[in-house]
Amino acid sequence: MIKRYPKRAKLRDGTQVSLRLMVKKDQHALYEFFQRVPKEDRLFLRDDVSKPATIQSWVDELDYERVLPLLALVDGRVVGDATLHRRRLGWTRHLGKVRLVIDSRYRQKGLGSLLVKELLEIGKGLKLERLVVELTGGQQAALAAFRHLGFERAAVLYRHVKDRAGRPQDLVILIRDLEEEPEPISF
Amino acid sequence: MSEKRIEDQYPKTTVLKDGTKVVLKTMTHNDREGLHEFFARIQEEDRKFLKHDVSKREVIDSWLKDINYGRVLPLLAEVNGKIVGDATLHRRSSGWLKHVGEVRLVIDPAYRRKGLGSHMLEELILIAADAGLEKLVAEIVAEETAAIRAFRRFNFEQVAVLPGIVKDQGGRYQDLVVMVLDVSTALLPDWYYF
Repeated sequence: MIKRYPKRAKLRDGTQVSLRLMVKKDQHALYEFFQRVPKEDRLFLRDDVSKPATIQSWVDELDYERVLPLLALVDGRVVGDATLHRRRLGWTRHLGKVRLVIDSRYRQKGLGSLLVKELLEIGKGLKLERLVVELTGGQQAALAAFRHLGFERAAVLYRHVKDRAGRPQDLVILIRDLEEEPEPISF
Repeated sequence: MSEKRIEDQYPKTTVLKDGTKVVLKTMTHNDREGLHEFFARIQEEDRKFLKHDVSKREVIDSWLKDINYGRVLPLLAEVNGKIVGDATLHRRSSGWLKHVGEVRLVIDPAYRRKGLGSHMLEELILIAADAGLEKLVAEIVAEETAAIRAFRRFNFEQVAVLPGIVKDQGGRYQDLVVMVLDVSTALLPDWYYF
């Protein structure tokens, strides 16, 4: 799995990005990356990434068996972070959970799709059966993007989570089967 | 839910409907063998619907490895020193689910229908309310209809069904029912209100 990286890819606008797994020394670069994520986007992230302690705990607990963090870099700067979360034990050990954050200046260039497609391949390689994404109801653009990549809405938990501002938000659970490819969209 | 307060509250003794005396206490490292024996007494058809394969020693050992009541509060029920019930409250210290706790409950088959499960769930709801949690979640395999009914009695509501999402310990795909309790609307037994 790890042998796939580092690798290079080209975005729709020609930008060269390199993809590789996160290592401990990325701590500062990650912190800077999340500082660049607009505050209104940060509201909808699961963890409070504005706190250095949050990033510190990711670095301290780095364990690819549990969380596989894939970074996209442009000129050495982190512009995207996609993570695949797995459980070693229990009734969800055949599932992988995906989380994704893209630098606002690198959206609509296909970077998010590129990273999610990498995670789909990694998931298949790890013999996972399905990938799960959890988003808040407010993340309409992300919702549409994941649906385009074959994720289907499995459930909506009404006002289940709280954003950074303390407001209740719906939690949308999206699932994609890794074993069968979704029907291609023909129009 | 500071550890100090939890330690002040437990152990405590309670009496079941049939007169059985039960001690409720928090799990410690000394409970390793007792827990193995407890889960060995749970029949396979029940065990397969649990989130973890509790027939494996490593599963129970992993729970005991990092006991942290702020993250997972494990409450045990004992009769004459034998574990007959295990109820856990799981929570997160940060993130968008910080106000949400998750409950899991396993009762020795010989001690069901005596009110033990309800009693343990009440304890968890009260601990959750005390800790400022706003919601409790229970995730139950859809076939476990008795458990779903029991949670409903406390005002847990079914908010979603995830079709075929979990794989039971027998390797079969099962629908998962997600039940949520708004802690402020929990239906507690009469003794709590009077």
